[in-house]
Amino acid sequence: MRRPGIAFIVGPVLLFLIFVIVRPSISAQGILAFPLWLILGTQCFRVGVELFLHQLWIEGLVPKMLTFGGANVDIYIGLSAPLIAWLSIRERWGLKLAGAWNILGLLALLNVVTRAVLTAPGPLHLIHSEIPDRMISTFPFLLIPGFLVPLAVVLHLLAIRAIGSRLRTGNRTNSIDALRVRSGSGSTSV
Amino acid sequence: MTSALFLGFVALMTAFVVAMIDRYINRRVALGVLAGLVVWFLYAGLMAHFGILG
Repeated sequence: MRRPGIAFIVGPVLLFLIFVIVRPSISAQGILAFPLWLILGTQCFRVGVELFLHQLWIEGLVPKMLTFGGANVDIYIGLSAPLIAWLSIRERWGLKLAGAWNILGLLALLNVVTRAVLTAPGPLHLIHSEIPDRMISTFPFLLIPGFLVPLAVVLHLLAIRAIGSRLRTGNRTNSIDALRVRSGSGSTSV
Repeated sequence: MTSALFLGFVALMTAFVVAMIDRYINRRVALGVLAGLVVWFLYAGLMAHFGILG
């Protein structure tokens, strides 16, 4: 019988993400505390992740489909993050664009995570690529699905909620909100 | 070499996340997040070291 393997990493990550999604207080605190441009701009770290994935493909740890030369479009999300962050604080249409960009970013993540799970050795090995995805069981590279992917998802969720609240209230910046939170006089009900 | 570079990248991202939480929320939450991440990294490292992940 094949061991569940990646379930020991993916399982706790999924539980964490569900916890973040179902606890609105965490998201509300994040929305109020962090400037939107910072939440959006931080996504540029994904360019670094893509460069590491490319190197892992060269070293034979991941199939080509998980790299930007294959079917992974994540690098475009990372490269466009600074521009989207800048646009989001300029105009109202920039906020709407940032909302759509976040949805695209989540879909890009879903694409690569699905491919990574389905090419990894184990009971879910349904896509047979030129080499199996051994990154997911190799330290420290298992921290890509174990830390960097959840970080990107949480940043997207925070951004989507922040953009939604700003579009509803017509407030483009949250620097005043951040000051309120730091001084303890702000309301967290967004 | 790639492993060392990647660990440096993860350390950089961890420091960035903790620093941002410290700056925009408060130090208590930042230290809690740091402690949680260290425990999680140790868990992941031990799982890989003992070959449990496959």
